Parts: sequence; C-alpha cells; structure tokens
Amino acid sequence: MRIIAVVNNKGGVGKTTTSRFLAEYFSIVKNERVLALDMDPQANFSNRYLKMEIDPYQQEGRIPPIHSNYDPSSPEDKDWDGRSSIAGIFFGEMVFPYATYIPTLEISPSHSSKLLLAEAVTREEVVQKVYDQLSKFLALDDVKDSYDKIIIDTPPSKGPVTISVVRAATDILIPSIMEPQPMEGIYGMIHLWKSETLRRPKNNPLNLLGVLPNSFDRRGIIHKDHYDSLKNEMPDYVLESKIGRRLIYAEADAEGAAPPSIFMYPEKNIARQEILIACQEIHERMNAHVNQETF
Amino acid sequence: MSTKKRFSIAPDLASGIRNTIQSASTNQGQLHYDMMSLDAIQPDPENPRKLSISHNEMVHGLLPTDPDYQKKIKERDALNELSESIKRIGIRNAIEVYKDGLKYRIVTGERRYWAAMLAGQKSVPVRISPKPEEFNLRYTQWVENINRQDLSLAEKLNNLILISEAHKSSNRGEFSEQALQNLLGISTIQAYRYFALLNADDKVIQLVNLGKINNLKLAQELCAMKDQGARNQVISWIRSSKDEVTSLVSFKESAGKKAASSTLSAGRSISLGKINNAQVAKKLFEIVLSDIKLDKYRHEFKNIDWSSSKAITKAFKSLFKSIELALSVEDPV
Repeated sequence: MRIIAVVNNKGGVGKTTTSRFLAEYFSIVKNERVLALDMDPQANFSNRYLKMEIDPYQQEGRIPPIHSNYDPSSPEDKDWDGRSSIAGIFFGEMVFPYATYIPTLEISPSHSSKLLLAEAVTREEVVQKVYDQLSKFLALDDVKDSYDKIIIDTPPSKGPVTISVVRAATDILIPSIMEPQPMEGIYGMIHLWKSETLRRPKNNPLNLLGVLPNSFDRRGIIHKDHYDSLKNEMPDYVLESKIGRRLIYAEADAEGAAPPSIFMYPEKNIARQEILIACQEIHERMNAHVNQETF
Repeated sequence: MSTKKRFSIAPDLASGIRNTIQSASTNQGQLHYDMMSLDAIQPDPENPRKLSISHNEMVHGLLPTDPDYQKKIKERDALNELSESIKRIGIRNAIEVYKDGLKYRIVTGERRYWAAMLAGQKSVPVRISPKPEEFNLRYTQWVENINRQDLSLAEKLNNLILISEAHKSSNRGEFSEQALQNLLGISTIQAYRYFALLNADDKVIQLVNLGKINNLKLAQELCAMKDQGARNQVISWIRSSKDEVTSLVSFKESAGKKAASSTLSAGRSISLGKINNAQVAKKLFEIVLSDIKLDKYRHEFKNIDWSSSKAITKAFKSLFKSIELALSVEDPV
C-alpha cells in the first residue's frame, strides 16, 4: 500500500485539485482500490465526492453527511451519530469510509471543527499523539488489506495535522505555482521532508516525488523562469509535466459537473491528456522508488 | 535598447533549497529524536560502565554494613546530583538507544537513564539509531566512557575484551598493539600496556576485577614479571591487601628488603662518558640498536645527521629512553 500526501503550506496552489486527479487516476484509470483522506478543515476535497453539511455548532465549518450504512435502529450503531470523518482518529472514534460515484474510490472526509482542534493542540504529550495517530490508523490490517493507494489532501500549514500526514506517508508530492511566494512554500515543505527523512530508518524512506508545477502559464516568462530556476536547484525533484492554467479544471470542480471526472472526458481532450501525463509521471516516480510495505 | 526582465528564485532561497535537498539525501535516518517512556528502555548489560549500586538500592537506600558502602554512597550522590538537575531542566542530551526486540537498548546515556528514573520522570528524550554493528557499539561505549574519572580498570578491561572480540569477528584484520593504538588514538606505551592486560593471565585479571589493581601501569608490570616466585608473592600480597594497591613500593617495604631492581633512586643517573669520533658513535649506536628488543623503536632513528654532534647527542638521549622503556618491563621486583 502506498500513501501519497499532497502537501504545501501555501494555500491556493492546487493541493485539492491534484489530490482529486491522483485519486481518480488510480481508481478510474488504473482500477486500483483507493482511499481518499481529507485532512483539510476547508473540506473541499470531501465536497467533491460527498454532500458535506454545515456544522450546526460552527456555521463556517463542514461536517460529513449521514453515512449510508448508518442504521439508528441497529444496536450496533447505538453509540454512533451516523457521521464519520478522518478527524475521528484524533478523538478515538471509528472511521467508516464513504463510497463515491467511482466504485473503487472511497473517501474518509474532513470534519472542520475536529481537524481545527487537532491542529491547535500545544501540549507536548498531546502533540506527540497527534503526530503518530494517522500512522497508527493506516497501519491497521483492515486498512492495509482494503486499499492499494491512500491519497491525502492536507491543510495549508506545517502544523500537527500536516506532520501526522508526513509521518504516515510513503510518498509526498508538492504542487506549486511557479511564482515567488509559492516558492517559499516549497522550501517549507522540503524542510519538513528533510526532518522526516533524518528521523526515518533507511528501510522506510519518505519518497519526495517532486514539485508539480500547477496553473502554469506558458504565455509569460515568469513561470518558465521560476521553473528553470527551481529545476536548477533541485534537478531530481521537479516534474517535467506541468498542469496548465485552464478553465476546464474549474468547471470540472463545479457541483454537478458532467462528466464528473477529468478522466471521463474524451481521450483527445487536451486537459485530460495533460493530467494523464502528469499522473503517469508521478506513478513512474513512485515506481522508481523501491516498492515497500510501509509498516 | 530595452532588455527583457528575467525572473529567478531569490539567491538565499535557492541556496536554502539546494542545501536542504543535499542534507536530506546524505543523512537519512541520522536524527531520529523522540520522547520515550522509561519502561520501554533497558540498559545494556554489557556496557563497560557498571553502576556500583542497584536499582533496588537507589530506591530503598544503602546498608551501612555493605562492604562497598563508601563507593556506593559516592555513586548515589553523583546520581542524585544529576537527578536534581534533571528535575530542574530536564535531560539536555538525548539518550541514544536502538531497537532490541520489544524494548530499546541503551547505547550511551545509562546514568541519565537512572537519574531520570530517580527524578520521577516518566519519559525521556531519546535518539533512536539503527542497531549498531557490535564492534561500533563497543567502540562508542569506550569513547563515551574512557574519559570518566570513575571508570575502573576492570570496566575498561571488559570493554576492551568486547572490542577485541568484535574486532576479530568482524574481519578487520589482526587485533595488534598497532591496531589498538590506531583505533583508540592512544600512545604507543598505553597501547602496549592495554595489550599486555588483554593477554594477562587469570590471576592478574582476577585482581583487576576485584578492584585490587586499578592502575594500568601496575597491572602491566605485573604481567611482565618473569620471576614466577616473586610474581606469586606479589600477587598474594595484593590479594591480601585491604584496599586498592597503587604501587609496589609498599610491598617492597613490607617484604623488609629492597627488592632487586635495576632502577636507581630518584634524581640519580649514570653517565655513559664521551665519544670524540662520530663514526665510532655511529657504530656503537648501530650495535645497540641491533638488539631485537629494540625492534619497534628502530624506525625512530632513521634520519640522524651524523655530522652534527648535537644531533648525535640528542639521538643517544632518545635511544637511552627507548632502551629503558623496552627493558624496564622485564625489570624483576
């Protein structure tokens, strides 16, 4: 099982879109069993597969919908409120992934207030627990036996939740726009990768798949210059593929978009081809690293 | 003429990215720090530095009737001091451990571990390393402990035995005096003495383990004694002594006679006269140096300027020192 975390502490660089492409690539194109995890309190990744609800206690937050397997009359479910999110791992709750419109893709959605709470912990012993919680969950036999790939969308931060994701991951991918501010975000993320690399044993490395240029505009020179400059500093860790700035991606994100996935567009569609090439390159980079059982 | 504006990453950011990537790729697994419960940690039973007091004694106190009471009191006080500092500022240097079965075994930091326990700590900072190769583990423990004043000769000897065994089983070549000297970065004479101790017979080892001998030079002198009768006498005398023996002077006194020794009393020396002919001096030098016992010093006298009386005098002085060093080990008591 490979666990791919999509990370960048800058917001708006395409983490959620990239997570979505990867989840759909592995489930639709490669027909693998995929579990999508939404660790971002903004819950945008969850919203693309589930009809998230407004949190009655925190209006700006989102909570998962009632699970289709929930049966209030069943004694088994008497202690469950019918909602399950990945944030539950920080609160000792069971996690029940939700089915999506793609048969081989399941999602464990965000829960805004719970994730914000986990992100805000400061007491040392609690922080340490948050760090290790996702690793423990993903090491469960039930999880390892049920999925081939785990795709994790993360919050735009370097806080405890992001660190717990990095600790659990086998691979990390850093989407970024090729502009000065997001470059700082890349630096922050490779620092996180370095810290994790230094603490991990050699037989369980955290593979840095690289930086994926996103919203790349070929018309000006600013994106190209920054791309070349970055490639110069970390030649092995900048992807050749670039995701262009296209309206179609925003359209595919909209509720009720048809078709719902970029991989359901006609094969000749340029945007589909672009995403497919990027996902294939990421897949190849994953295969270049020794395939491993993480835990 | 206008030039087109070009963009690039800021220089400090670029160098930060480059250095970070480089550091991560060359140092994987080198810095795994964590907080670990004391229950999950166990000391290395073969660590050369053995505490004189047990965990039970630390918790329940010492018996004044214990023959090692004074030693244990000293150890307990030192641990209490460390424990107090841990209560105030915590453990500043992480304890180094490696995974050994279900627990983590200490590579270095055993005193910190016990002191943390005395301080009532539940968990301590640790640096987790991969399980070190046996030889490197013993070497690390040697380096960690060798400069401690309170490390006994017996503890050093036990560490050396482990190092030599690990050296032999790891195909690192012959474990010689030279190898020991290079490995530990000690002087030729120190290496010679340690090596003699490593090859000592059971009687000497027993005296070292009993704490009757805690002086490397004395142990080596005992190993080198050829007169078995005199040697046995000395060994019995040391064994029967109440405290640690630091020199053989008191044995000589207690034997009521000046032992046969070629060593002159302090401050006295013999003048070997003068030679006016440099060629004669050179010949004499070569004759003396041809003695097989001086083999290991021969390389030191390769480049003597035989046209300079100063250089020749200096060489003879140095030669005499080497002779005394080489022959003194055979000195009967």
